[in-house]
Amino acid sequence: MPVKNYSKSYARKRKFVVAFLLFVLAMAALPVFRIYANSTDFWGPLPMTLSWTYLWYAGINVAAFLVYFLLFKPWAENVMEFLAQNAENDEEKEMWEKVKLTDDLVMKKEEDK
Amino acid sequence: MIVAGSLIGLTAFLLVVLIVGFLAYKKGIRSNVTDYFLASRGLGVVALVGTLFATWFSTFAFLGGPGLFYKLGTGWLLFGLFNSLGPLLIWVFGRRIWLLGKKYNFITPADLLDSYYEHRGIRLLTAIICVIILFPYATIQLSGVAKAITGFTAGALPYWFGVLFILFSVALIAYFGGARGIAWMDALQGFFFGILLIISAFFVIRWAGGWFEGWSAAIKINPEMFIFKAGASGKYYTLALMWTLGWVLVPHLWQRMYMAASPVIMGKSMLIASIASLWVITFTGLIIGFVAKGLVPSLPPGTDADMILPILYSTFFPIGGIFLVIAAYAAGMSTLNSQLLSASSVVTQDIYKAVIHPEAPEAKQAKIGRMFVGVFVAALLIFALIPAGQALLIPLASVGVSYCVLLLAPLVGVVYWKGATRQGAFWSMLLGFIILVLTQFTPLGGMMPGTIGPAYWGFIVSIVTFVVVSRFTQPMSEKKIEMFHGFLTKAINLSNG
Repeated sequence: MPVKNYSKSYARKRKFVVAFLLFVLAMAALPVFRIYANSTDFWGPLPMTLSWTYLWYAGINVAAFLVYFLLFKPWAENVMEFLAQNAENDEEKEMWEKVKLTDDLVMKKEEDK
Repeated sequence: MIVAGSLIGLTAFLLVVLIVGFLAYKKGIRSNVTDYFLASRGLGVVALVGTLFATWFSTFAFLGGPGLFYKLGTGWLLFGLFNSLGPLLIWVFGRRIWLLGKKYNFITPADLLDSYYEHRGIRLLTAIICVIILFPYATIQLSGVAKAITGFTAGALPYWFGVLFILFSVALIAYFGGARGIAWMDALQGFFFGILLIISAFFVIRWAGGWFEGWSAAIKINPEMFIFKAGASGKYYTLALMWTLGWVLVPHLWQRMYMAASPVIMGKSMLIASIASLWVITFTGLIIGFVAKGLVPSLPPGTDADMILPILYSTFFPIGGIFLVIAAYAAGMSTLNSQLLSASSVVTQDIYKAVIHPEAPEAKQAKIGRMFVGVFVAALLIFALIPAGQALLIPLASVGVSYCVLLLAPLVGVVYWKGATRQGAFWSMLLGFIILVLTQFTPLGGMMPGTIGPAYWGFIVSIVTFVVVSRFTQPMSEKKIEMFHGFLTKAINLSNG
């Protein structure tokens, strides 16, 4: 697999994820500063403060999904190839190759599923 | 009945410890220091998630967590914030720590920092901070679990028995199994106390007569606990800062970044840890703590809020106390064994190897590491059994984790900011440390403006010092920058686009 360089679309995805996470954190902070949702009334299954907070905490989980699928996984698939190609000596090359094999195995298991 | 059941459960768990320790010992390379401290950097998803999860969540997860929801109400909602957010730091810092650890064979946090800055003072300061984070907390953790076991069995299993039983198990797995044995055990223990929390949350709802009935009763008794009060945000975000950063910066978690077999495994672990922490640990704790207010409006005099779950069990389902005893043991042990091994690695690598015997062969280092496990076990035993020892450590244990914020600036210098200098890193750690200690333990803390706590003051001073001193001191050599930043830039700035 050819190693590609850091791309514009990757940078865009990263900016999107960071912006999403900041938005989620800002929304989660509204009741802390008593701006909104600081109430004992039920909002769905829980009192409003708790429902609101956990809704946005779930947004952090969504951000984790985005980080993994948009950023971490594509990077991880490529980085081992690069490291093995650019190792400074045979011993290091062998080490990165081993790590790459582990990753390939994990990916294959995922694809099989 | 509870005592007999607890003893059977504990013995069964000890047998599992023995088996896992033996298997890990057989699989391990005994003369290899990386294998002993880092499981040969070969942990898969299950072991890595398990050990991240179980190491981070101690008995606090099912005693202190629900207890603080019960006591502080919304003031403790950040428990969900930092535990869902913290794992994302694996993306920000973890993969960089992993790459450098793999390339240059780092074992401790100080290995990474000292290797870049080449400053003995930074290594020693890092080692001191690591020990402050690890040892007092480990002692309090040990005595806390032993006290919980004694409390759950109404004194039938005495305190000294709990201390000895836990230490024996921890010593076995840490001495023989090393990091691999600990990670395997952690995965089992994490699964066990996670399940117990989920079941307990269901029980509490049932005991309250149903979901809406439970919440309504709690709101009726104490509506104040369901809303944020004015002026709470400073303290709230101080706690959030240190506990979020702790996910990567406390030494035993930092070392888990070195342990992943591959980057994909790290990524998956990040995702699973974020979700499981939020829903398995904090959301169940929230249900238990809040709904318990309707069931037990006030605690018996002299009882701490940490005991809310045991009180609920003893009131509604006494026999369930057996599972609490085993879960307390499992949760406490899983954190303690990692802290013990981490502390041993810090002393072995950052003091013995770096200062006393730099040419020590790997086999000797592994041997010394095992020896220090024994030394720390003995020290833990003494401190846990002597009241004066605990009195000395309690103030440090309660703030120990906050010291991890001092490692952030020097780490940023190694993995992000080329402008960082060794003087900047050293003085940021030292001044941050001094301010943190002063604001925590002297009247200076009360004189500081605003509502933020000592960790934030230490953090602010550390960051400002780092930037200012780095601006006016000699930059790192080109060679060093290429070794670290050059390597990271090439390795990180890749994607499939």
